[in-house]
Amino acid sequence: MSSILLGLNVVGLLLVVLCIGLLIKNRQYEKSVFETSVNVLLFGLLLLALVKLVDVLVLLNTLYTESFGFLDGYLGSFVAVSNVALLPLFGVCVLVSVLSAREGFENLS
Amino acid sequence: MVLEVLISVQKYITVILLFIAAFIWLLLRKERGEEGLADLRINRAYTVIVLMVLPFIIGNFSLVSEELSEVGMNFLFVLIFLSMVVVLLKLNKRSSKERENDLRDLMKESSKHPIRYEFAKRIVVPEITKLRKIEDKLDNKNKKFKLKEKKLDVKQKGLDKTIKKLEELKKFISDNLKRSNNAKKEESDRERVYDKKESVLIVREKKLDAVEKDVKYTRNELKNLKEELTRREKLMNPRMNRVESREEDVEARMSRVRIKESDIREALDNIQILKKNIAKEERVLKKSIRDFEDEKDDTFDLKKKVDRVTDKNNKIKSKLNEREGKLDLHEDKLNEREKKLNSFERSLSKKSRNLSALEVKFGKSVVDLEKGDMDPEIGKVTGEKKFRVKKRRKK
Repeated sequence: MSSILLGLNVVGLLLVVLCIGLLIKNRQYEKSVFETSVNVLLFGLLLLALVKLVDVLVLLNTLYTESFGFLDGYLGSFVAVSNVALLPLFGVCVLVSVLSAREGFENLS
Repeated sequence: MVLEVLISVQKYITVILLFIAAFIWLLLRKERGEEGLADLRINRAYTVIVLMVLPFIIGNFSLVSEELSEVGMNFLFVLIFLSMVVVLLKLNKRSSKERENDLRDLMKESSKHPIRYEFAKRIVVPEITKLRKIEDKLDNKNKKFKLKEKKLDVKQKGLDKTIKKLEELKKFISDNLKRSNNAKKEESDRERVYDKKESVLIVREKKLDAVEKDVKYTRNELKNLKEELTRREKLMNPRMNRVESREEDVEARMSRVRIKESDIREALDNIQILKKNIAKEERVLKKSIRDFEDEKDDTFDLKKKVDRVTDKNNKIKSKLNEREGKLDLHEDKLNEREKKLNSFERSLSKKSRNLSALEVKFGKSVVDLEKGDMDPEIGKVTGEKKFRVKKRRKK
């Protein structure tokens, strides 16, 4: 089960990174009004990528303890930081980007 | 414990934040519709990302086991982001195509695009001004370049002249090179000869070294000999003194001998004088012989006596001739025996004594002959005048 989780997390991490790249590419076609919104969304996706990286490291540590045993001392704090700070920050970023997009629409209208 | 509570609280907060965001976005979408959201090209990406609330809801509020909820949450996460990637890819392609079309419209002169004027104002005009500045600079540079070209033409003429000179120099150098090559060959030949000579010289040097060694050896020997000579000189000095004293004695003797020689010479001179006198007397005698021959007839007895006298005279003559020969021999011997004067000194002195004795005797005989004393063997010798007077009386 954990291996399935690891696979899903790795794929999710790769997809997040790919999304960041595509967003950066699409940013140049957007109007300047929505620039801040897109930038905040990019920052949120970066935080989400970090959360996924921490999850991948946790799973790797559980599956391959011998090779990733050196992460035992840091993983607890990584998980705590990701759950306490990074995930809520991701939520905040998404909310802020939506709000700024709405503001942009209002400015345009 | 506190951390776990905090983590669960934070998860709930996240879900709430995402829920609010989704709610706001969905309201906005409902208000404006899809056409109203067209200003934001990636609005579909926003709707997809708002769906992120679902996996978090499943993760926090699931009724099944934790593992299953985690798997479901990650599965949904992957699905959402996969759909987001697809949406973003499509959007990217579409927007890139639109941008290309816009750019192509800009390139067309006939179509009037609203951005075209702005593009012309903001981008083309400053570029044109820059290009004009560059053109002015290029014109200035062209003028300078033409001036430089003229200068360069002048220089080129000079260079042509110099090139001609250089070509002449090249020819000269090539000739010189040929000569130098020939000279090099000659030098190489000479070097070979020199090498041979060097080898010969080396051999000679070795020989000279050997000779030098010999010379050194001989020098050392000479030094030794000199030292021995100095020693011998030291030893010989008293002997040399003796020799010098003897030389002085010899010189004294030689001086004596010279004195005696001078005496002998004087004696010889006297002898020669005597010889002359004798020659005169011989003439006189011949005359007297003639007179005697004339008187032969008259005086037969006297004839015999005259013959005897003549015989005696002849004997005396022969004796004188012999003595003359002896004297000549003595002269030669004296000349030869000058070096051996010490040994001849006594003999010469004896001979000089004998000679003096003979001289005395001879002188007496001559005096007697002149006085006209009668010789016991020849008889009375008369003078020429008396003889003529007697002849007249007889007649």
